[in-house]
Amino acid sequence: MPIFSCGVRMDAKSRADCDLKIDSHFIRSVSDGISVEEMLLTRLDSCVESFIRLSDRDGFEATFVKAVQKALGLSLADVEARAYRAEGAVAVKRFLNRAMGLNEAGEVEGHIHEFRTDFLQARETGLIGPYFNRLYQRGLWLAEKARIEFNLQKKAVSPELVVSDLAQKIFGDLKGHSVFVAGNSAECEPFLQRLVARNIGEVFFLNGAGRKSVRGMCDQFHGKMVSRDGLGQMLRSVDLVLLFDQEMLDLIVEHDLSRVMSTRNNAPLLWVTLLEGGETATKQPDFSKFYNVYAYNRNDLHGIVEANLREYQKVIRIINRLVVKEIDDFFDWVNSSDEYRFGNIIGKSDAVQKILELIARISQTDISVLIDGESGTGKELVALAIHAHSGRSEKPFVTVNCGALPEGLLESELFGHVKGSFTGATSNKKGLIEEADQGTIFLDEIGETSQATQVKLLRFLQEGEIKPVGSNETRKLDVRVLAATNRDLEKMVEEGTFRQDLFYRLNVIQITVPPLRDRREDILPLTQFFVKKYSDVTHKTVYGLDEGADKKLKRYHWPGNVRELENAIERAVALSSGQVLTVEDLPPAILGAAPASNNRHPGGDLSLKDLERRHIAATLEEHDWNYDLVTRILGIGRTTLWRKMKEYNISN
Amino acid sequence: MKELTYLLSWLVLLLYAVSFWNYLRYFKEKSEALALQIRRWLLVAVSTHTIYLAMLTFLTGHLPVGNTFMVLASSAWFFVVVYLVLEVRLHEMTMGVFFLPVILLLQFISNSFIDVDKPLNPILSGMMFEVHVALMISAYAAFTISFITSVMYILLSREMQSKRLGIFFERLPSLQFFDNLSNHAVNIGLVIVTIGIGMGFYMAADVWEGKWALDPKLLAVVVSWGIYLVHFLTRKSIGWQGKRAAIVSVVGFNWLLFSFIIVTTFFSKIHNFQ
Repeated sequence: MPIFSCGVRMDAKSRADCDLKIDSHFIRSVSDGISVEEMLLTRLDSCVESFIRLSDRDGFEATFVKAVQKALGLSLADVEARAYRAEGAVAVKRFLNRAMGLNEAGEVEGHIHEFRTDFLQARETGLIGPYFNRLYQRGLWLAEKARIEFNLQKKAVSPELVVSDLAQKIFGDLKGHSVFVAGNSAECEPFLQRLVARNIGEVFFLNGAGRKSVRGMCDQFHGKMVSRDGLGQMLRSVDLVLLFDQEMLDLIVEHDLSRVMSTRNNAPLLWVTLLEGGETATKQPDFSKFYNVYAYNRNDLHGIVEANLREYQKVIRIINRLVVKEIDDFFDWVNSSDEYRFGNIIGKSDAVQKILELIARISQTDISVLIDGESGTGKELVALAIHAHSGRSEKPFVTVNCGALPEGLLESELFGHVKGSFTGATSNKKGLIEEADQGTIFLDEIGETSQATQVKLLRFLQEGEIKPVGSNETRKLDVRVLAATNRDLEKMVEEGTFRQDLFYRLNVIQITVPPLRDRREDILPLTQFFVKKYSDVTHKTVYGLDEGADKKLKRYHWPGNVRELENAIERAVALSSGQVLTVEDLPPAILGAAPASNNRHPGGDLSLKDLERRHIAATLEEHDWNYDLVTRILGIGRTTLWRKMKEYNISN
Repeated sequence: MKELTYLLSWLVLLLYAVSFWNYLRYFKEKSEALALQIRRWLLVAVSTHTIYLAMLTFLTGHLPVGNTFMVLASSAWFFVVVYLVLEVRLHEMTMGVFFLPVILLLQFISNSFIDVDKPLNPILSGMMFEVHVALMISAYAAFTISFITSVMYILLSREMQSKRLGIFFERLPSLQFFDNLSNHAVNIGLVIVTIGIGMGFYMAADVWEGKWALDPKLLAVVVSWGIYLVHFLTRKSIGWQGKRAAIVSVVGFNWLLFSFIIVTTFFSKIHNFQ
């Protein structure tokens, strides 16, 4: 299974008119015989890495192969032999490493944010297929795990990060503090970007002769230009000095430094010199007289970075083991041909991908999640996936359907009760929340709970304590709460039937599962999954459906969502006699249904009569030509219906 | 009842020791799960301390400020309360590991001198006297806060100047944070201690009729007042800040401890609680 991928610069957004420029780094690697899969993961400066979807790569591929051929002077066969190397393990590893902020060698580098932006940008071009989506989700999950369990990304791993960390440790909030930078833009930019990201106040540059790059930087960072005469004045008030320039250092040391320092009123100063060619040969200013100065040079910064990296080494070994397992899982999944299956969730639509990404990002924290969506869309599967990806996956997952139990019973089910607290309470009983201790509780149909239970739930969410019915003792529990509803809780809050504070507590993260009719791409993979499932159950050999049935399924509007689809397929498989499902095997509701779209609310200009005709036809079709039902729905008599049917020439 | 009170005094010390151990663990691990537990232990400790002080009040019939051990116990209690308020307000729990040793020391000294049977000097039980002591304790609380933040400032600053960033860099908030907190504490403490000393002079003039001028404790207090005044003035006029201000604050607090404990014990003349 080749994962076709490459490291090429994509200037244009859309695939059709993209202009391929093969990076020199890429060429070097290809000619060295490294697989193309590995290439995609090397960071090429300022270019979007592109990830090519297996299914619609044709046009792109041709251009790509030609470009490689031309650049390397290889024969077509050579290119293909290299481009389609099957094993992508190294590539996958790099991808996952980068997703966690590690570089190719597996060292902490910390570009998680850049990686995510790059990926999302690449996805916008429409070139991301299921494989990379999957990898991206796994990468998000791993990154979160590394962050939460191993504190990865906390320590500075580059000189830029060390400088901004130092500045923050000295000044606290960097807002209202200023920095002076002298050097060329390539050197200064990474440092300034980090500082700007932490809200540094003013940025000063020296107005030197003929330095175009400085002027550009000044514009880029909304900085201020200072003339040579103003240098002393500026140094008097600046908080952070970054020098890349020997000449500048000499200038400051010889003319101003001692005088300036004595007028600074001992205000703290972070003084960083990052000179070309090491520090030893150059003259360093003497700060020993000034007690609030923190002076660092290039070697100091590198020393700190190295020390931090050494501390990370052990953690990285553990993470590497995780990554190896992840790679195995990935290839198992790739080879299983369930390319749209992610655990228990199936779907190729963007909506499902986004949900999966969200799950990957939030599952390892303990924040509560509210899952909403129509009934039958698979809210419980989302909850299960969150549980399975969390650190609690070995611990219990308890589902409570709040709508299924009468009021008093729900309370004692959730919180438990003690013996004698009400008639029939013959013994102490643990509540379901307590059963879920250390694990996850999933409160389905949360909108159906009464005010009294809502108060108790709120208390539990805020304090992490429960009090069984009839008991005076509170119990401290560690339970993660997931809730689901198919009702509009916001509206219920407005109406006053759902407590606002509980809503805010539950709704820290909201995952909306869209109805099946809004993600028709998922119907096919779901159908395939269910066909396989039920043909196994019924010991039949059904492989899929024919075109007619497929069309019917896609046109139906699925009011019962995935659950209805599952039932329809179960029925169809049970009834089928051949190896593919045909239209006859499908339930009448689906067959009779009018096409879901452009029927009820047609676009374009229509006369009232046209509209009436369409509406009557659609209603009849939808309800299987049941005249009784249709007359009631339309609010007209049976004779009127017949008359209109004749008039509009509608017949079964 | 008396035995119970003595027992309680050691229980309080034990609970603070547990709290200190907790804060130390938190400082090393910084896990939020531990944070809740820590605060609960400190609350248990301070509640027990409150009960202990209430029992002292009940036993002696006066607010527990009438002699050395009581004043130390009350001070420790008040310092912890102030600390707790600060901790909650500032969301900063790393200070506890520096703060609790001070409390442990005060409480330990107080327990060593414990004696509820000693009669109180009648002139030391008036309303005026109690306000004076309360003011002094408040001021010392402020100076204690300034002391621990200054110590933390110096530790962090030294680590950063040594260019080997370690646990302080990782755990502590910024230098600016400590500098601000310490300066504020000194400002507040200075105002309160000025009023307190003023009141003391007024009462002393009344009670001791001129003998007070050479009292070592009084001199010591005036010297510490002077040190904190230097802290304030050098900051405002010649821009001593950061590390240098922190050093002044540390010196001031050490002098305070010296004057409060050593002078009371060894040079006790008239200005003592007997």
